[in-house]
Amino acid sequence: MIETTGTANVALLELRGVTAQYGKIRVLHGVDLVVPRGEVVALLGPNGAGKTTTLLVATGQHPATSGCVHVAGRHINGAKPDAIARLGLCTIPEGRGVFRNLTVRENLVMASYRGVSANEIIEKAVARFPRLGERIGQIAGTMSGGEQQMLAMARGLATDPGLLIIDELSMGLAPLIVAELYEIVAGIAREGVSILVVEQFARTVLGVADHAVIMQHGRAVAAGTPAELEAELSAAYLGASI
Amino acid sequence: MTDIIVLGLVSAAIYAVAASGLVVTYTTSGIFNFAHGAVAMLSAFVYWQLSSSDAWGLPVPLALVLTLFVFAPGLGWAIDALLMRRLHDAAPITRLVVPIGLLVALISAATIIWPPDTVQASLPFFFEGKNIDVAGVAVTYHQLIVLITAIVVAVGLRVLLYATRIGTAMRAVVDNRDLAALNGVSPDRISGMAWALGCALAGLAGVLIAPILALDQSQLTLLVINAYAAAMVGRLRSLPLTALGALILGLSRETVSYFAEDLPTWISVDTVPALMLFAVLILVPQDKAAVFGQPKDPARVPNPSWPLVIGSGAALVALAYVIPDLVSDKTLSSVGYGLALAIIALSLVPLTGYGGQISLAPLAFAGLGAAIMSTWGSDGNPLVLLAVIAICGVVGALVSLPALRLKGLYLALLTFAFALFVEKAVLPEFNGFTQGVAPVGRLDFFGISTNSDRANLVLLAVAFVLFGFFVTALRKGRVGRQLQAMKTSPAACATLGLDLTALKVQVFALSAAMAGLGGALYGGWRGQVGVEQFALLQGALPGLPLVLLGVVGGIAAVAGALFGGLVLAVAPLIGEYYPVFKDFMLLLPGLAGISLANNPNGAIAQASDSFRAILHKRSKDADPGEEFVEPAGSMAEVMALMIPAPAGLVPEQIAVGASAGATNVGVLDREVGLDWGRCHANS
Amino acid sequence: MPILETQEISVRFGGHMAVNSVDLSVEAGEICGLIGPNGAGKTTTFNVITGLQAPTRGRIRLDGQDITSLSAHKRARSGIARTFQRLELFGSLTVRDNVRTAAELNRTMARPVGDVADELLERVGLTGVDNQRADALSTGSARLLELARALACTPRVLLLDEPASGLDEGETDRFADLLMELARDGLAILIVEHDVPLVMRMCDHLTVLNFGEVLASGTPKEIQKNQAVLDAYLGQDPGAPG
Repeated sequence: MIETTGTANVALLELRGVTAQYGKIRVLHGVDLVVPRGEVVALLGPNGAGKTTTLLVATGQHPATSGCVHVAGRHINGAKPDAIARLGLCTIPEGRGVFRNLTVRENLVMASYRGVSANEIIEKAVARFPRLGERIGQIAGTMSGGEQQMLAMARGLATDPGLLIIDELSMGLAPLIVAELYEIVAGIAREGVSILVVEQFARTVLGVADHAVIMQHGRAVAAGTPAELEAELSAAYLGASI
Repeated sequence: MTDIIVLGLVSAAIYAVAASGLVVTYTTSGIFNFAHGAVAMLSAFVYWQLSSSDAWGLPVPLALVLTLFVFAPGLGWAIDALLMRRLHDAAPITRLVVPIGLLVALISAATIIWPPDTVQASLPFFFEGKNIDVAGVAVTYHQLIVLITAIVVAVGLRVLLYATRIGTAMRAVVDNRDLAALNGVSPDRISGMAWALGCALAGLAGVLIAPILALDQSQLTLLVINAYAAAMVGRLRSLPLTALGALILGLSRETVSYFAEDLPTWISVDTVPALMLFAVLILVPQDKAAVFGQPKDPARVPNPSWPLVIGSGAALVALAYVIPDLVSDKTLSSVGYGLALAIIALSLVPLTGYGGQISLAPLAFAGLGAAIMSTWGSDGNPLVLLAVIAICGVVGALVSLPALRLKGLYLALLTFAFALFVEKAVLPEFNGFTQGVAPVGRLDFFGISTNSDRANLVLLAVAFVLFGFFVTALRKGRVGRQLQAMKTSPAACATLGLDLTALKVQVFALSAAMAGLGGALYGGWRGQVGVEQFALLQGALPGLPLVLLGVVGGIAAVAGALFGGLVLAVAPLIGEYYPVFKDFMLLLPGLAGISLANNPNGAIAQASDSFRAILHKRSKDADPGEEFVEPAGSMAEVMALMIPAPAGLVPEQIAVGASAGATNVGVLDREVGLDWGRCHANS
Repeated sequence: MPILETQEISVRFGGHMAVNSVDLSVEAGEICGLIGPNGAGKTTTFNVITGLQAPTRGRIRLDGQDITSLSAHKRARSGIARTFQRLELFGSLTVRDNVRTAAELNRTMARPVGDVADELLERVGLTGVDNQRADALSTGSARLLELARALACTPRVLLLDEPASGLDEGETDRFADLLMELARDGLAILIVEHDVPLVMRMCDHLTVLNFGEVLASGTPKEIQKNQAVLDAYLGQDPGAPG
């Protein structure tokens, strides 16, 4: 893990020994995770490993039972999701990153609650994703899955977030569209945005990531560069004997 | 004929305004505001207070602005901030009962502030006496204003929801509450606004309808309940369909009123809303009952030991025997009511407390029981009780049939519609019920008469105790386990081979029969009864407060039912003997219901918790239900305190980039209200 | 002849095919695994088999008899029992009463239900906590209790939905031993589980679901070598063709 010293290069997101539970069911058993400034970190693991819960804790949607959650070096345990969002953390949640009954334009307007004017957001979004411009008045729920993910990303990016968190971008999408979406993510990363990608389909994201962490049974079991982790992957997902 | 259309449209317009307010609050907060009508009523009174020349006599426009733009929205905002916001994770019954408590409390408050016997309040029509001619029909200015208002409200809501940022945010919160929060919108603030808007619309409906009806606490509250039926047509979601529902309701009411003489008596202006609510709940596909269990249901189901139950039962009967020597006739009469009401409240213990099925109609079944007893048993023949059991049981089973597929709220509304129907259409059919003089005999067990007050009070106590034994035995036995299983996880029950349909029908029938018996005994105690005794809201001992106090006592406890019945009957006495407490006693049932927001297990559970805590010298925190089973592990010492930072404390515009370089981190942290030092000391 | 068989069952939620023409079969004494990524339709398949979800299309047969139109409780009475991924215990009842309630509903049960409950609790190792409220149990114990409760139906087919999640290693081992013992006694077991090593060890046969469809079917060894399965779990390498 990257050690942090001082405030100048403090990590954008840092989880230390985070545990969390649903009722009596403990799903995180002490997770450590660091997203350094300007890097793309992939959080990998089979389903049920605790990736989404880790994310919910980081974004304030689920309380940590113990451990610390820091955003830019600031302790945020217990803060509400909308407050954390206004700190500059942008989340694109799994599968449902758009308001399905609102139009594309209204979806983009919703981002203005983080302090950027609605017109500016729409301009930027359309510049980045021309396809959204063509569909500005359409109800978001009637667009294809890939377009919905684009809308979710556009809304997230329009406010220049310090940290972008993407949960299961590939959920329910065909491989070709997933590849296209990750092209976009790579582009965003080149602009210097820090990104935490949670992904079940490990290989699709390894090309984009600077670091990767593999979770299993509610713990981070391996961390390193994508090249270092390639070998661990199939063991973590399908057992050792491949 | 054109008259009907104009009158129908006017009614429809008012229902539509009220119903759209209901929809706005329900969709944004997920809580059905039973008190919507009471807010309308209270607003109408406030408007009267401000504008009437008998009161403060402010100019009408100023009074309107103060009522509709200050009072009603402020009330709505306060209701949300103080009560409803706490109910997100509450058990379904609590989410239902707290608004009912509010309804009852608002009615009592209005009765205290504007006592009906001293304040002769009435509101004039707007532009009294002026009218215009539309296609040969004289339309009053008031009617015209109502129609125009409804159109303005509809257009205004459309514009607000679809053309403003706030409206977009409201719809976003409805669409996906969590995602809205991730976008920096505070769902709490949005729901506060929605409640303000919803209550303003209720207030508007109240001010418009009060001149047409009378300015009367319960009349006005019940009439806006018509809005329920309209809102259900839109499944509590769609505003256009809600308007359609209002239109159907308004026109059918006026049509029924016009042809009243040709129609059977059970179809009348008073029953149309109930019939429509019934029809809509059955015909319009509604949200299905949840199959999978509540993730967390904090409710407890007490399991008292037999010696305790038998001992308490014997003590109660003994007490009933000596009480007539100790108290005045007036107190005695109240104690008897209390015991009878306790039996009726006890009918909810298996149904709601064990089985999780919500009913607002126990007093309606009690009314049926009393009516049957009055018809055949005015001589006190105990065999008539068998007829009471049979008829109430069958009716209860029939009512449950459409309810089987419905989730909690709709079940509550369905039983509500049934109770309204019984009150307006069924009970008046029985001799003497309208005048309140239907005779009910005290039981005569083939020579053993219970005619004296003492004998009858002992009879009530024995009946309550026997029912208490029965319900306790149920709790400890197979059926009790199955009912609790059904409440916590219908899915698991079904996959273990339990026929949920049969069980629900049975428990509804059982509950209805118990309530019916309670009603028959209640009638005997009083000697004569009428509709007033079994009404939902009106009358001396109304039905909603009974349900309320049953739940407050602890809906899963026999003692809770006794508590509910006795408090409801005896509390007014305290007010009579000690006038200082009179107002408080009037408010008590409503306030008690509201208090459930903080104490979902009921008063009995809380009292016995405190008692046990004293006995065992340990706090109730040790309740295994609240304990983390797995130890915190190696990170236990790094345990960060969960500090619930109110959204308002978090500075709004700290970009991550900016805050990282901020030198004065300590100041920021204090603003944010976070305990940064504690966490880092150990990491 | 298989004891339980599904023939081309499909479930459509709106425009989304959650389960698409899935064939499964389990024989007495066999443990079959149903695996696949999140959202592949595994739990929906279980819901269809147990009658909690009506299929849009397809048939379910028990012992060759068509049970598609039977309600959930009738299927349970004819010998299908299950556990739930998100625990569905009767929280307000004691541990022992949870099992008793199930035994009482079992019309073929000739013995005193109390004895049956005690025996089953002993078998799953919960004897010491039989008087606790069920919602006070740890996850591991709660899963064992769901198993005991399901066994109180004396099922011929047992469906287990992620029974090992939340169990520690020791508990998982004991759990696996118990299941294999039950299978030896002639019970047909269908199991959804993310702990792949556990699945590989226990199962005689595996079916892999992806996007609601059967992606592969075979012995654990065959599945481990199947390229389509690897792609489904790990995602396709964007560099690789197709």
